Amino acid sequence: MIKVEGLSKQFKVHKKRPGLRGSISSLFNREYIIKDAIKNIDLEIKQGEILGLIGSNGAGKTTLTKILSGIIHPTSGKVSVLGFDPWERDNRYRQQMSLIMGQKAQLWWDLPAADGFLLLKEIYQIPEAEFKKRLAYLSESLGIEKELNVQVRKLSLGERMKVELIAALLHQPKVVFLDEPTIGLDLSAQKAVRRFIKEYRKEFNPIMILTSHYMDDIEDLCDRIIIMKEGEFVYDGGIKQVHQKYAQSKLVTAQAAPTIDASEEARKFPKSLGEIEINDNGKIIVRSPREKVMEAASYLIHYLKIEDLNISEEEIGDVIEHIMSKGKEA
Amino acid sequence: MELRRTLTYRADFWVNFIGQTLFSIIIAYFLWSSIFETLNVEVLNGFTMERMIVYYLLVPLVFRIQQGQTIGSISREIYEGSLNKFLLYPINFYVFKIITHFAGAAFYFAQIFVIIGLYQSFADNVIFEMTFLKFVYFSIAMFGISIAYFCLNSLSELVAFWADYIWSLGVIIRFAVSFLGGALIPLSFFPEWSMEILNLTPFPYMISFPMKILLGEVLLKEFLFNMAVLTVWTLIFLFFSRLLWNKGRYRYTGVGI
Repeated sequence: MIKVEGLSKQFKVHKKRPGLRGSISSLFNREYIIKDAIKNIDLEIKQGEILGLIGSNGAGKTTLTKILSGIIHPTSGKVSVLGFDPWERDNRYRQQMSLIMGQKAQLWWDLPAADGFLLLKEIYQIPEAEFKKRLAYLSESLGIEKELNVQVRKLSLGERMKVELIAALLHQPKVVFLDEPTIGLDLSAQKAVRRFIKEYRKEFNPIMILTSHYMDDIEDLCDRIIIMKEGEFVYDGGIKQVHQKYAQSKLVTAQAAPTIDASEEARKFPKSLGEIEINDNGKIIVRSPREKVMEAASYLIHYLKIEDLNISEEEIGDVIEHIMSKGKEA
Repeated sequence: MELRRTLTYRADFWVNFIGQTLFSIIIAYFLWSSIFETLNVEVLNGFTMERMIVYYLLVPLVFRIQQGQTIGSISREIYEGSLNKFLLYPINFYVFKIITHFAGAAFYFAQIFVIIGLYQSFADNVIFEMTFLKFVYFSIAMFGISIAYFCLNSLSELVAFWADYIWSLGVIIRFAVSFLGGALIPLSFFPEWSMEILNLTPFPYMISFPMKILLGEVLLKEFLFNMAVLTVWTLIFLFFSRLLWNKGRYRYTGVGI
């Protein structure tokens, strides 16, 4: 279980004026600015829960992950992960935790992954038989058995991510931090990684904290999400509840009859019923306030002689983007 | 692991081995033969020309054993953020780094005995004998020196917590050890008064001392005294290194993820 109370983190950043003059003057006189990366947050995550951390760059997601994993020290507040203070770097905690960084290789770049795994076996003191069993299970689930003896730097990005996943899960951690695990991967590799994470979770029930910019990752894997903006939580709750709470409009999509001049009709569309947009194929998209949806639909049926009509929720990514841009007032 | 990594780059390994040794010998030969000729002497501060060549044949390897494989790696890990993984693993970062350091040193340790073997097989006039006792003294001394250098070097590397790029500090330490330890010029060429001061520093114990074991005679008493001085210096370096580590960690931002 993870428990965080009143957590804050400030960074002191060196401010450098541009140009050569700025560089020289900064040698003698440095100006610093204090940046609030995390502002007074509370958080509780139960065993087995998978939490999606969402936010634009610099929102504080990675800082939070680094504090929870014990890499950096918080400025203030209390942190407890599985009953340990991560900053203390107690080996009993580190034995049960793992951080997977999509943008940073943890395995030894010049060696085959298999050699890196052997070192990890020693570091985590995994018994030989257990090590073989886990390695076989993980490499088979990810379909990467043949690439284990290739130097890590010679692997493709997708293969590299898969061996990184194995490296991070060999010791069967109870808390797993996944920082952008699918970044830069092609669609099929993204799917394979997601499928694997789901299976792994079902089998071992760890706490997982996932940071990703891909909404597919979040929708597919997480039940609960936290949206961060400028170091604060602007939403903490179920992914399905995001729609109910924040999606103020629904999408009405329709195909106008070829005989109708859709763009002409669109100009006449009443603004009170929502925003209308027509794409090149004559497809009409209306973003309509929830209470006006039926009215908007009947307007389209009546005036645009439409052939096909569909009412749906807004894309989760759009809703989240709206929340991120508006903050708590969304 | 470090051994495997080094072996991965076979070409670099051999080029380094042959290149460094040859380079050092050629420079020493031209430099010192002209000095001997100009001064028109057979023996200079206890060194004949032959002895000088052997000195410069072995001293780069002693220097390399001492330096191991960690030079720059700690500061680079702090600077690039790859220290993260060591903070996550349930291991002591220092122990891990020192083992890596030894793995690097083991190569140069093997190399020096290959060179000594070749020298004793092919040289017309062998100027020193390799005994089992010398081997034991040399191995123990190099083990201690390697740890001492690791701790001294880590002091400069850990400054990376405060100043991003500290490569030049490492170079200064390297040069200081190399010059004041006797890798550039044998310490018997230093004025007597300076040796009195130098003997209070750790440097002569880091290069000149193992060279004396190989080329001369070191009695047990002298060996133990030198090892004791080295141990005291190592503990001092270690104390300050831990201090820097504990303070520096608060400043670490784990860049790169």
